[in-house]
Amino acid sequence: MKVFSLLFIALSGFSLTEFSAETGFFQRLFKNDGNPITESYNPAIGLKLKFKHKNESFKAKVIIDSLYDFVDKDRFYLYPEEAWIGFDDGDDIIKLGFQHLNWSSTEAFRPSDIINSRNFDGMIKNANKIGEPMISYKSIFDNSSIMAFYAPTFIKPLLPGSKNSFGAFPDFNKTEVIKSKTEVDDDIFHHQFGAIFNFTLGKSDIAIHYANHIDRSEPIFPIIFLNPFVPIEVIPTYYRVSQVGLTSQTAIFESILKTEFVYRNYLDYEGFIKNSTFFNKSTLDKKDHFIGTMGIEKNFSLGEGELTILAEAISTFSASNSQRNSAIFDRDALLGFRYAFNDTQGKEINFSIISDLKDFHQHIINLDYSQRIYENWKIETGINFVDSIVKDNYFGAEGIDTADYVYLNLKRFF
Amino acid sequence: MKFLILLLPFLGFANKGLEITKKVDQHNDGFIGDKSKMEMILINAQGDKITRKLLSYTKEIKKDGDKSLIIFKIPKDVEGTKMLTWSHKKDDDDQWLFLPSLKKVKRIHSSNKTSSFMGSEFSYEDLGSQEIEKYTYKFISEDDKSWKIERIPVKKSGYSKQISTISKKYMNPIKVEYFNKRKELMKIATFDNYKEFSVSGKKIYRAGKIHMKNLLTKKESILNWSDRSVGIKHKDSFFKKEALNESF
Repeated sequence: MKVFSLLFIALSGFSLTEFSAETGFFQRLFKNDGNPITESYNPAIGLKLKFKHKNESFKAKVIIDSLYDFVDKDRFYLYPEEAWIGFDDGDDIIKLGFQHLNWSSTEAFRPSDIINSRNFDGMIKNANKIGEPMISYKSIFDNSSIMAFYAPTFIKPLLPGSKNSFGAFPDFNKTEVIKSKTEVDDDIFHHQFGAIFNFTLGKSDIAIHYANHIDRSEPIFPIIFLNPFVPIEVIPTYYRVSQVGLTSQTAIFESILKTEFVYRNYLDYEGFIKNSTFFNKSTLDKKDHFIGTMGIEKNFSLGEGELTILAEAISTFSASNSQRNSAIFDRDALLGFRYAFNDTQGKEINFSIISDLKDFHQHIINLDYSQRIYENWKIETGINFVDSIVKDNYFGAEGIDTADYVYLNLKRFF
Repeated sequence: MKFLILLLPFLGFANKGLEITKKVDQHNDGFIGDKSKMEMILINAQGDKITRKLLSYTKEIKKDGDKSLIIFKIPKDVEGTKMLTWSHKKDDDDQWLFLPSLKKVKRIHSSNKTSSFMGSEFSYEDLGSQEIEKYTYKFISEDDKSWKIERIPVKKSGYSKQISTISKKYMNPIKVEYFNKRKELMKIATFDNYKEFSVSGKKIYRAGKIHMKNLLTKKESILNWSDRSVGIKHKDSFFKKEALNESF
């Protein structure tokens, strides 16, 4: 590694260059779901490479993430989380290349966190993001900043394959984007743009955002039938959505209060489903709607460690019933805690339970533990349990009801 | 009246403690900004050692507390994590954490300062800004080389009191004794390797090493500074939360 760093320093004169890597052995074991196609045991290796370079106002960053599963051969991915070059004089920043944006203020339910496609191979609560090619500009003022971006392409999310216990889906051959009330296309070029204005008011960090993009967080799955009894294809299909939102983080009563309110407008394409010949129309209907999320985080000192209690809730307003039912999170609440031991090994326990507030028939429970072993090794282990009565035809968490698993990761940092 | 007469010497000592602290504070004023590399050696009760590495930047703010940025370098699993603090003289500090894996800037509440910093014997409170207004003071004694002053936190703290021995030469502490809530002597910090810096013709001293010993757990932590520069004019934007996910 040192050889690489020295080489870059030599090439660029007086500058800062860092090269690092993270590799690991990742294992997860699912409860037997009775499906002969899915694999219950997923042993995999992963590699993440990171490169950073800065010379005066010029800077560049590359992070490539990859994973290979020894059993489920379809579970292989390699993508850039970030790969950009930029100019940064401290007040104005321009970046060009694959970027990763996060506009959220809340922890679990994040309706404002819409930019970038995700890798849905793992946890839905905090799925990893895939970098997307874009040009962005940020200007930093006294107590505020504005950032705008333009992304010319649509990068499709990584959906779990048919052998993956997370997936209730068949393998998809193509992806489509709704272009008008009567048209879809599978072109990768789609204009996407947005801006966010951040400012601080007293003890509050507030942000207002606007994005006009292909909504990758909630694909629909129209089923095309040859006749009422013979389905021939399911194609993940995405709407263009215009979203405005307001987010905040406020220090109050020795806690942090977090909110996110967004309005999603499905532009002129609402009629697409009505005009189509899909047989599952009622489950695909999308309607303009509001989403509100509110949460509170409170820290306590406990011995040498720190306990953080977190509570969050989300609700959708003025959406259709089928849309509310099919959303991964709606009228849900999270209660959780994190205990950081603040010791030399960085030991940490995380627990959360997400419950459906409509009738308490869906629960997602997570318990995770991690710690360093030696200086450059880290072990992560945990259990994920989904408890759901299948009653609405695989809505919400029902589709992943069988995705109970335990995992054990061993990571090495270079 | 008798009660007031009896109280007067103590009031006088209290004022003297505050006066000395103000004098020390004024002497350290005008450093403009600094940057340094920090190495933290954690030693457990058996003598095993682990090293942590950080980068530290501070900007002096007139009429308010300083702004500081800490960037974690080692251990590697938290590399790139940043903690930005805007300290205030009376109000709670503003504090943000940048998590590089999520590309997220989180506001955190600063009232909870008693927990350990990175598993060391230093708490966030020990390493945070030591604004005069956050304590009351009492003069204890003095000799040719130092003053001894007791300070009691005004707001929530992990300590009942601290006794500082302040060097008349360096105008900075050379020893601080920390007493826990049960009023037991819990930790002792010694400040060594003072280095002189000249900023706009003014001599300013900064410790190159702090050795913190926990008398209750027998654990120790040593903070060493290297490559320190004082008198640096950092850009304002460097200490803004908006720049946390941009700075390198």
